[in-house]
Parts: sequence; structure tokens; C-alpha cells
Amino acid sequence: MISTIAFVIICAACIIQIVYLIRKGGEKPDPLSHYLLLPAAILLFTDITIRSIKINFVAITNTFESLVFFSGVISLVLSVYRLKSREKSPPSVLFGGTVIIIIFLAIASSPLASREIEPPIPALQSYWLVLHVAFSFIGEAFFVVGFVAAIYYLTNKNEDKRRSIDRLMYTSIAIGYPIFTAGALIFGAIWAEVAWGRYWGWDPKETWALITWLVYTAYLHTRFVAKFRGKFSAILAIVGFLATVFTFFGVNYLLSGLHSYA
Amino acid sequence: MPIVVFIVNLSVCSIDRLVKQIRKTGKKRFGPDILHIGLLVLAVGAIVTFTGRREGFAYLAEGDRVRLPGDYVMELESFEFHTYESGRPKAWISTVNVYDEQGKVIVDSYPIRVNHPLRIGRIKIYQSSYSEEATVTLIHNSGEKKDLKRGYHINVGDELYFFRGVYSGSGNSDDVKVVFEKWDGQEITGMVSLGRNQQVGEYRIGKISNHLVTGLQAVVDPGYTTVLIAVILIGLGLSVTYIQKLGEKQS
Repeated sequence: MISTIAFVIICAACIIQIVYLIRKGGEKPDPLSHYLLLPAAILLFTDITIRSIKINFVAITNTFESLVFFSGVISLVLSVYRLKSREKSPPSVLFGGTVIIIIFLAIASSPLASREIEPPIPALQSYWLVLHVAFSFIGEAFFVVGFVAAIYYLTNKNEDKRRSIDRLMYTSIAIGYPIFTAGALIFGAIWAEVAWGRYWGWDPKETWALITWLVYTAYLHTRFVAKFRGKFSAILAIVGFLATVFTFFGVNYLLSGLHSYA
Repeated sequence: MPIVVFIVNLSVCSIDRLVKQIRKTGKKRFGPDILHIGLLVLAVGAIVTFTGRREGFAYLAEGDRVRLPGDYVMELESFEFHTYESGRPKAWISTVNVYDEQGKVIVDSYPIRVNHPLRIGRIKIYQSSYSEEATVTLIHNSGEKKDLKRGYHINVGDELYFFRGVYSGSGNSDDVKVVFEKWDGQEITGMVSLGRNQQVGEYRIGKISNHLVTGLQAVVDPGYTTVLIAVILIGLGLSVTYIQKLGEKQS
């Protein structure tokens, strides 16, 4: 119920963004939608908190809870970014991010993700899991911004705008990358060692998380070392996000492995 | 081969970058260097693990003992399987004692659970799985007793009777039946379920028991410490990079 209210608020924010995009031609961000995304994020985290109290463990142990948490983090990141960058934030990036939240929450409310509140099975009863999942999603929330910025970059012809959007794309990936590395790879490896006696098992989810990490590593290295900018970087940012999405959904629904509950 | 190329490339780039940083006169950023050195240490740890990792697995019933590397002996004191009200697994707990070669207790009643392994020196013991072990005591017409475990068979006339398990139709422990699968040498010819004191060929069904056994895995990984150091270095490298970047942005 709480997530549904958050979903309605996010939809309202999206409608406001669309109206402003049409009326102002994407020049100025709307003054309201980020103030809606903030309480929506709080509501989504409240839903997670209530579920956590019911199962006496941090409720990020199934697809529904993961999507709600992920959507909450993206809402928070978008909102904080808009507040910090004030009038300079491109409305299209906020709009794109908001659409992605709506898609994730729609999937969460679909039959693909069970809403049942279930306590964790023994393999999931570890606080390394909490760190692993939380840090991975926080990192990936920044990748969402990088992805939307990359799309905006490729569809925009204005050079000044492209320069600032390239900077936004880089900043969001540069912030998300170490957080994702810590969460998905470091904490994940430590948890695997504690639970199964090995750091790495080439499970499909692990392999795809590594592929995602390698794509973003390529993004940063081509930028730092080869000084690549613009179109090539934008394409890598898009490929990286597609790999992120496949790691989350594709592996869950198409491949089986140790992470089949996630 | 690609891994070797990757490690060589990483080594050359890391050394090159580190040398440049040391020679640099301005502000030095060592975060990425620590991170890359961490990745190299990780590669070394992975090679050590790949070449030297050993693991063993055993199913143990309560009271069973198993020898571990280093002349330790581990004894299963108890095994518990807890479920939530919904029937979903809550915990598998194998409580063990470990003795050294002189028989002295070095680990007393340690509960091994998933995510809570036992560490004895270089050895780690993990809760890996569990199984049901069914046993039926068959009493021959001559009075001789024979314990048959699930999966094993007896000869009945020209057929083999494979013991497939036990079940209780009513859920009552007094109503437990033994299930045999009949095989004529070429195909399965049927199933038979028999209760206590019923006759099967030259045997009478005696005591029927069905209890849980725990599956424990022992791992010795010589690369553990190296990988742990690598993980710490990578974490440190990421943190230093992040903190320096933030500091530069604020100043």
C-alpha cells in the first residue's frame, strides 16, 4: 500500500515533468517534481522498514523488495541531484530517471515479483548480504543517471549542452563505480566466502556483475587514459546500464544459479 | 591466455602509473595505485587458490566422527533443522566437537550454520547441505539381523528389492512403512510398501528409522589470506580515491 502511494506520487512528478518539457521546450527544470520524488523515496524506504520489522531482518531479500529499495535510491539520487545543481540540471535527465523508476515499480507490482513477506532462508541471513545489496543498488542508481544522460547526449545537437551532459554522465558513473565495486564485487565476494567457502564461483549473476563492472571500467579507463569523450563514452554508458539491467532481471528470469532468489 | 595478458598488462600499467606518481611534483593521487596493486594481489591470491585449494565433503549422523586435515577429529554432537511456521527453512545447525591427535577437545559444542562456518587454523568447515538417512533392520528367518540403508537391495527370489525410503501415510510415527522397488534384472516391475513385522522374502521387517544427516564441507584455501589482503587494498584504494576527489572538489 505504501509503495502504491509512492508510485502515484512519482507518476504525478512525471506528469509535471512532461508538462514542463512540452511548455518550456526542455530549457528549464520544473520547480516541483523533485520535491515529490523526495517523499516518494521516504515512503519506499518506509515500506522496506515495515517489512524488515515484520521479518526481523533487513527486507532486501527478494525481487519485490530489491526493486522498491532500488527505486527509492534512484528517487533520492535524482532529487538530491536536482536540489544541488539547482537550475542547471537538464529536465530530460530527471524525466528519464523518473520514467525508469516508474518502470521498476511497475515490474515490482506485476506477477513477476511476489509481494509476499517472507523471512530469509539460511543462506540470506548475513549482514554481508545487506551491504552487498545496498551498495550495489546505490552504485547502480548513479548508473541510471549516467544512462539517461548518455541517451540525452546522443539525441542532443547543442555542443554546450553536450559538454555539460558529458560531465554529468562522467560524474554520475565516477560516483557510482566505486560504490558498485564495493557492493557487488567486494562485499559479494566476502559474503560468498563466509556462506559457501569460496570468493567466486562463476555463478551467472557473478559473471554478469563482472561484465557490468568491466564495461564501466572500460568507460573510466578510456576516459582517463585515452581521453575519450562524447559519443563513444555515451555508448559505453548505455551498454553498461543494459548490462546492469540484464544482471538484475535477465539472470533472475533467464538463467539459474545461486542468486535465483535475488 | 587472456588472463595472463590481462595480468601482464595490469602489472605494466600499475608500475608505470606508480612510478609517474612518485616522480610527480604536484598533488599525488595514490588511491588508484593502491587499487591496482590490490587487483594484482587478487590475481596472485586467485592463482594460489586455483592451484592449492582442497575441499572435502561428508554426511554425518549424530555421534559420527570424521578425520580432518592436520590430524584433527570432528564429531557431530547434534544436528537441528528449524523451519518457519510456513515450512520455509530457517536454520540448519550442526553442533560439533573437534579433538586434536591426543584426543584433547579444542573446539567444544560449536554450532556451524550457513554463514557461520567453523575455522580451525587453515581449515574452514561449512554447513553445506543435509539429507535424510533411512535404515531398516531386516530379520532373517534364521534370526540374523541386517541393517539396510536407502539405495541398497536384497535378493527376493529372482528379483532385487531396492530400498527406496520410508513414509508415513497417516503422519503417525507408528504407521511408518518401508518402500521397495522391485527389479527383475531388466526393468522395474513394481513397488512394495511394508510395515513392521511384515515378511519380504526370507526377511521380516524390523526397526525402521529415518533421521536427518548433515552435509559438512571442509575447505583448506592457501590463497585465503592473500585474497583478503587484496580485498582490503581494493577497498582502501577506492576509499582514498574517493576522499581525495571530494577534498579537491571542496577546496
